[in-house]
Amino acid sequence: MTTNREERFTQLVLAHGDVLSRYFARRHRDADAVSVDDLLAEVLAVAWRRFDDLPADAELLFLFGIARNVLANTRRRSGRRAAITSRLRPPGPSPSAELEAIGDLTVRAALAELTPTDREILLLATFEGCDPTECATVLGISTNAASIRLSRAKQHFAAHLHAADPESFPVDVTGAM
Amino acid sequence: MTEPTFDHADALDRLRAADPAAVLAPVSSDRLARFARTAMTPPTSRFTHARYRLVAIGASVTSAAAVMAGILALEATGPALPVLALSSRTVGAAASYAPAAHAMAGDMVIWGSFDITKGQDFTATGGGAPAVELTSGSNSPSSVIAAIAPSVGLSGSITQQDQVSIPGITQSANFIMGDPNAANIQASDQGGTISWSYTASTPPVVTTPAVGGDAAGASTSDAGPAPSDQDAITAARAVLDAANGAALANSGLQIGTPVTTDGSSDVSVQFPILAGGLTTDLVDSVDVGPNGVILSASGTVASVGRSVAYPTISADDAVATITAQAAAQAAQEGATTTTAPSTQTTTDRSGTTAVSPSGVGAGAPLGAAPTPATTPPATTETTAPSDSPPAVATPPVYTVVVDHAVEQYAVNTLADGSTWLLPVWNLDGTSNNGAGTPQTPGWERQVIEIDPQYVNLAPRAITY
Repeated sequence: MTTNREERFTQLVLAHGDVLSRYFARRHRDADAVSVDDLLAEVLAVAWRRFDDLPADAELLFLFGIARNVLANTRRRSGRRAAITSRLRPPGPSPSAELEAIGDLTVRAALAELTPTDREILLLATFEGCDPTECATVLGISTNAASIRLSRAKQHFAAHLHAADPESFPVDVTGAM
Repeated sequence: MTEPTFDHADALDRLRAADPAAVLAPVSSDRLARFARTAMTPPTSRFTHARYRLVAIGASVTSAAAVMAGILALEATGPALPVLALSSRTVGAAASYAPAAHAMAGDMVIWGSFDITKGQDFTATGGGAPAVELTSGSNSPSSVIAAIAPSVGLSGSITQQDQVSIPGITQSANFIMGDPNAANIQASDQGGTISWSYTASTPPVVTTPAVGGDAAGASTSDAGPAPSDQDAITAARAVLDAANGAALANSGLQIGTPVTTDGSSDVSVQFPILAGGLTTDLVDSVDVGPNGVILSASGTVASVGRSVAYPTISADDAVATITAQAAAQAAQEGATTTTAPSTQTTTDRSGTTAVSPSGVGAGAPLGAAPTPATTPPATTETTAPSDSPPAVATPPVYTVVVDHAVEQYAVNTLADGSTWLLPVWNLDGTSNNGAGTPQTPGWERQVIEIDPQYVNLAPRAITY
């Protein structure tokens, strides 16, 4: 028999599962040896354990926070595995998962120039549609800090895009920010 | 000097256009609902060596305590133990364990005789061990199907299938969810235990996320690499946990360490079922495809019911039992191989003709009128009288060396229809033919460990 709690959790998953799946698809790397489904299942397992802690007005942001931690743990595990296998193969540059997932080489090059923190907030804002306040909730920083970081990330990203493709992205002569 | 500024809008539009998730199909609500159900399923215990040692020690202590309790019970109650009357014909998983003699099936049906010796000394004294009844507890075929369905993404009504009538055999009702010719789950009550199976008739559809931004990479496909062994075990275990539900912990049975077999795009995972720390011949099996999709699965849901302690024979006695059976068979081979087995009609030296069905025994075929022995039958295939003896084929002699004797449990169906785990000696060793060529795989037989006076063996037709 389905309890009310189970029913509410199912509704939560139906409402946000697709968004979470896309969150991981954008950041997933085959080399991580786990699938998007694995990551989603892990997030939902945590969410079920902590279901009573979910804030009613920010459930998705809370889920993003869990997803971020799950992804970080997965990458740490992959990092340990890579540290072992690196003894067997010559060292080389290892692009981040986000960069592997993005096919536009110009965009990929521009993102690669950003710091991980700038890249993270830029993707949250652009792909997941979070405003600075929501980004702040997910990242656990103040709204002011999120605004500053997001503005800086946009500026740097546009600058690097210009460097990579000056004709398509000229300097904004109006100085508009 | 002022830093140059750039148009964010164009840059962010370019970034949005590169969104690797934009080409993904939405995750269906059914699939999300399954994710939700999986998340709400109680977690399985993680395997650790420390936990394994604890479980192993606990099982050993429990097993030893059960044996000691059995011995003490025997001493206290005397010989008034129920005799286990084994069924000669059973339907289902237990059928292959119906014994031909006190030595279990595995049956020496190979034409030839066996020269059996021990490769090492075994224990010469018997002891005691419990025979354990298996029951379905509070489970039914329908409840097991309903429990498994969410774990394999199947839903629908459960119906009872029509049975094919086989004279003399009472068959259990078979229940099914899904299409018999497509994906379905089936279950039936086999003398108290619930046997179940799942089949995904066609490879399930797996949505693969886009990687590298290539739209073509976001495909809906059934192809893909085989899962890792650990992923396959996790997926397989989830199905078994669903099948057994919360009852497993109290069933008296345990799921053992899984064994995996890797295929090109799937991994087969087999879980041995243990009772009191001893291996049984119950095995739950799950075939896992790409992305952890369950391709097929089968198993048994059961709980331990009554437990009766019996005196047991030693491993030495078990080898002696199997040796005696080999000698009996050798004598039988000698008696039957002097008759050409394919001859329907034979005539002895005096010209007397008799009809023998398939050459395996005397007497007329069922339904045929008795034929006077002195009346030639209306057949043209009559062997002419001859002074030459019938052709005699020499059966090969297999040399067997028994190297190991291990206690475990075998499933048996009793004459009353109940299902029991009986303690057996599992004997294995090497075998080669008369030319010294080793046989592959090696030699293996089971001998019921319970003192023969407490086992009533049902006769069974000899089959060659």
